[in-house]
Amino acid sequence: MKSISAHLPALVVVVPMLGALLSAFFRRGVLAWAFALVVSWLMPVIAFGLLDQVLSGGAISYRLGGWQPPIGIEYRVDTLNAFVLVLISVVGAVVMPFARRSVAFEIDGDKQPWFYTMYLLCLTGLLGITVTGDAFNLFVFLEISSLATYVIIAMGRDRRSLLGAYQYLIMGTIGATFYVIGVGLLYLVTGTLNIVDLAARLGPAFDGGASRPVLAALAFITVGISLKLALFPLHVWLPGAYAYAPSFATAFLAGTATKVAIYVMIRVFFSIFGPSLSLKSIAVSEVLMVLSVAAMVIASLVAVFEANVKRLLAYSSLAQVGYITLGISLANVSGLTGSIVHLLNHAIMKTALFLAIGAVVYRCGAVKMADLAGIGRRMPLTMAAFVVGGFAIIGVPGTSGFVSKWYLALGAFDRGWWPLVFVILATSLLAVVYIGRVVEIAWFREPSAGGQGVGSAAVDAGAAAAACGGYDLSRDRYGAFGDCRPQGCRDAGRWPEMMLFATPDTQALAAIVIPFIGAILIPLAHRIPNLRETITLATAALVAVTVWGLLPGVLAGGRPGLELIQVVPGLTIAFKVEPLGLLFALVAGSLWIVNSVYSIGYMRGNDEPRQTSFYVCFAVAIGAAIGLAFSANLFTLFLFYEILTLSTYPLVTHKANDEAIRGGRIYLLLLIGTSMLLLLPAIIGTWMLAGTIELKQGGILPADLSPALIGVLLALYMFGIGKAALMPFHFWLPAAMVAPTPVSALLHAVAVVKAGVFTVLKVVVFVFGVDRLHATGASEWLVYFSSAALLLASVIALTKTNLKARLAYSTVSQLGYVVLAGALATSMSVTGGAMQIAMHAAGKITLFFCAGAIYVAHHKTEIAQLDGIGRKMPVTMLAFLVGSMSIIGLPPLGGVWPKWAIGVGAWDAGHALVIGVLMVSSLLNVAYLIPIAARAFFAKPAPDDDDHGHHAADGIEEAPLPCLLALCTTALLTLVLFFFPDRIEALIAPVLAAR
Amino acid sequence: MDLLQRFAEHYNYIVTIFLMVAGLYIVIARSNMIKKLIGLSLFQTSVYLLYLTPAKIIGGTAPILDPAYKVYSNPLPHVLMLTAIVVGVATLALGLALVVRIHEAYGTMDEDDIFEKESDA
Repeated sequence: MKSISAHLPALVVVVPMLGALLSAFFRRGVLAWAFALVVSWLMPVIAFGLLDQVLSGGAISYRLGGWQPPIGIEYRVDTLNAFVLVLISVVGAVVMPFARRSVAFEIDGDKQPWFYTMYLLCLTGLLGITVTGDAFNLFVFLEISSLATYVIIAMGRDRRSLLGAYQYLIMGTIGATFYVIGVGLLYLVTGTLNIVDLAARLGPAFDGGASRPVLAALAFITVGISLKLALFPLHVWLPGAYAYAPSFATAFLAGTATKVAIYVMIRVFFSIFGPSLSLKSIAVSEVLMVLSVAAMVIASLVAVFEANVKRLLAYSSLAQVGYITLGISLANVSGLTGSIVHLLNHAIMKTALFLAIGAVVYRCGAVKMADLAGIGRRMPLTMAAFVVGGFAIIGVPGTSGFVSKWYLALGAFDRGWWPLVFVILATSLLAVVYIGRVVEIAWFREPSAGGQGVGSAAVDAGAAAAACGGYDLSRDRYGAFGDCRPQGCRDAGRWPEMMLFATPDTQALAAIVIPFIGAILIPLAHRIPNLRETITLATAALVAVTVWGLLPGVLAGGRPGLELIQVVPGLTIAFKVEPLGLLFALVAGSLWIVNSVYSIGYMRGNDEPRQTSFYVCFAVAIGAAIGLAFSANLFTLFLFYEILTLSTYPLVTHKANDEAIRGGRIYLLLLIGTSMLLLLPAIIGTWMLAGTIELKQGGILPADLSPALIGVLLALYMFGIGKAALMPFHFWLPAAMVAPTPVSALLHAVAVVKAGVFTVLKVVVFVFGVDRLHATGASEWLVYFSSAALLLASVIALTKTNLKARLAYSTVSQLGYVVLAGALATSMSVTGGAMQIAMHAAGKITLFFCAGAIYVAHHKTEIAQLDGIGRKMPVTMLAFLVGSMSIIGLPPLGGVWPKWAIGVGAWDAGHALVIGVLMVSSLLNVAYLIPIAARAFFAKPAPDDDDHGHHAADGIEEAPLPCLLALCTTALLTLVLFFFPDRIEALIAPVLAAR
Repeated sequence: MDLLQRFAEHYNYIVTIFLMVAGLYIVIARSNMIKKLIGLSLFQTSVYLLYLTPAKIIGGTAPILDPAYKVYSNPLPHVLMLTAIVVGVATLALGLALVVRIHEAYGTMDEDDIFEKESDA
């Protein structure tokens, strides 16, 4: 055993090479596959063995043939290439189960054994490049892998695969030859080929310094490798090669081939030449930076317009390679960490995506965008894996992509190239577009008529893709792993006690976890609607009980919380229950029960399709809202903020018609766009300025910050929190009106917008600090801006004739109050803002419930159609009136208090003008809400208004009972809340007290 | 005179660079796939010269230890180029095989024609 472990560096190459030879002897494809499977599953064992040796005993040097290096060829394994070895071998092992069906489907029977031979040869080459410590030996392995790759690509079904292979052959050979020219020049200068020896001889002692031959060598090698790793503009071979190769090969190559080339680049730059020579002596780093940015932007743009999904993913790969080389060009620790982490992450996510598409190809033989319509419903697991992989490409927090981008952004800041942060995030937004296109078509378009469903499901294919996608979910570990900082044992030890569900700490976690558990259980009861709805209600009740259970402890001054996982140093997923968050969680948790009851009535009453996914998304959204409420730092907050966006997107597009899809697009792009381009930079900026992103009482920003900088940061936050719908980023809200009404009620009253304004308050209180903001006057502009915005929104609401659209603009205006409250930055106004969250939630959800009830009972959506409807639906319209009055702020309804508190706060802050704004706004509220109720009760019904078979008789036709029950509850709630403003105030006071 | 001497001293390198650039030019400028491969081969061949030029010492012999000889050529680049030649031959063979297949599939081996066909399709 000992003797074997000593020879692992050689076995990494020998095993697959022998395997390649032997698999050529098989006659039948299945046998060759089984053999290749055994070999490729052996490789991770060897690679992990090597990694283990390296981590425990330091770098390994293996002498091939007993020759002493630098005379003989040396295989040298350190942490970097042990890590790359693990990556390649694991990707190779994961894709193999997928190969059997896919290869059998795409390649002729007699050629299959050859295919596996070539696959194993390619694996040999890639592993050899990684393990070798000899520059020329590296070239040989490069050619072994390349030649095998050309053959694999040429085996594609389409004749264009031949063309792709030929082009790759030409480009690849030029690249390899450039590399070998560079190595030759280095050999001329130093007389050695051993990488360690080269580094030593080129080191500080080398009197040639940045001499001409050395720089020429650097140039040749850089260009050569850039060709292999498809750095823009040397990338032209890649899309053709990836798009038409067999699906299996694409999945494997996308995950490994370019990654190995990047490894070589890192090795050459940092090991052989050293960063001072390779990146800084001439403008290599600047050139690389420009090319990387060009790759990111241009390739992403091309991907946006690409109709072939495989080509789309190939262009996406080019963009992702740009991220990696960008990190190299930054030449600092954060940047390089980002590169290496992204190397791994991208390998995994792109493999997952290509596997998912491979499974689709197997199933319906199509890679054109248009052919994918509705595929998500036929292959839900596969496309779910695709979605997860897509999230990772986008860099949604909670997936691996976020960690890489976080490091890259930090690296860019360190280097002083802060505009790059925006480029990184803007290209992420392009990724939202191109991934979103596929997701949209796959999930929300009706399938085309052509029945191309292959009988047998590609179960193993889907499973492999899902497995690969699954790795993304657990990427936190990988992020840490790429950083080579083993951790997590500490957390693991705490898990059993977390499960006990006993302390307030675990209770807080339970409130977040329960909805997610519910989201898992609901689809299991897909076929039994009653059970499904019971689960929904039970989950909602459990959440409400849990959240309310936290209240006494928090009122008594307790701040339960816990740190769950440290993703990377400084970034933790941590929760802390503080009063403000608890208030929001109470609102969300309590109204969810009511909303669930209402949803059941609405969805059944309307006989809506896809109810299961509706309830699942709903549960996830609530879980995210509560997670957001309890988040202890900006990272956790951002994580749940994005989960909330993504989980509500399917709800918005629920109807799956053109209008819904368009609305969904605006919704997704605006919310993700603002959060990525403004909020995330704000968080990163806070991190750079304050050194922490923990939310602390009294703010975290350093004391010596200039008011101007605070103002800029505040602007980034306020506009970045798109969910708060501060003008001009409010368009998503009216666009989201295409959703079913329970969703509108949830979005507008409970989860999304409240999450937005809650985040605003949280940022004002815990990042800036109320006093701080008030003292510096940095929020002065926001007072005027939000005042203007809320008046403007009210005026727009007046002009809307669609009931839900009017309510939407009313919401935009009402949210302005909370932003205004934050901007005023006095303790009274913030209390008012917090109250507004609760009061407006109760009031607006009532109004939306009513709008939905009208739709269910009479299918009416326009205000003009509502004449006289009060006589048919007296209860509903009465509730509507109560809700309206609460929104306006009339006693004895809850809505009066926030306006009172904000007014007092404005007086304190010396903004008497704001009181005028509040009054005008209330008048406008009257003008756009009261006429609706008035028409409903007093206007004569139009004679021909009923085209749904209902008679315009005076008989009472209310909505289904659950709907009615729900809207009465919330209407009553607005009344009840009038009497308990002091409770809310008492809850919030401690947050503002500590000065 | 000086120039001529430098030319003579660097004669091999000049040939190397000429072959390198000529090969690369053919690859880029020609649309005939066979000619491209010829250019590629030329390009690769130039590398052999680059390696072998400094390795061969005038008056040196093969490095077989013998008291009769004092000056030996460096064997390492020769060995490396042996490998490179093998790689080159393999690449050329594979490239030609691909061109045969492409000719079967498209009925032409002119890249411009093929791109034209593809854009029509």
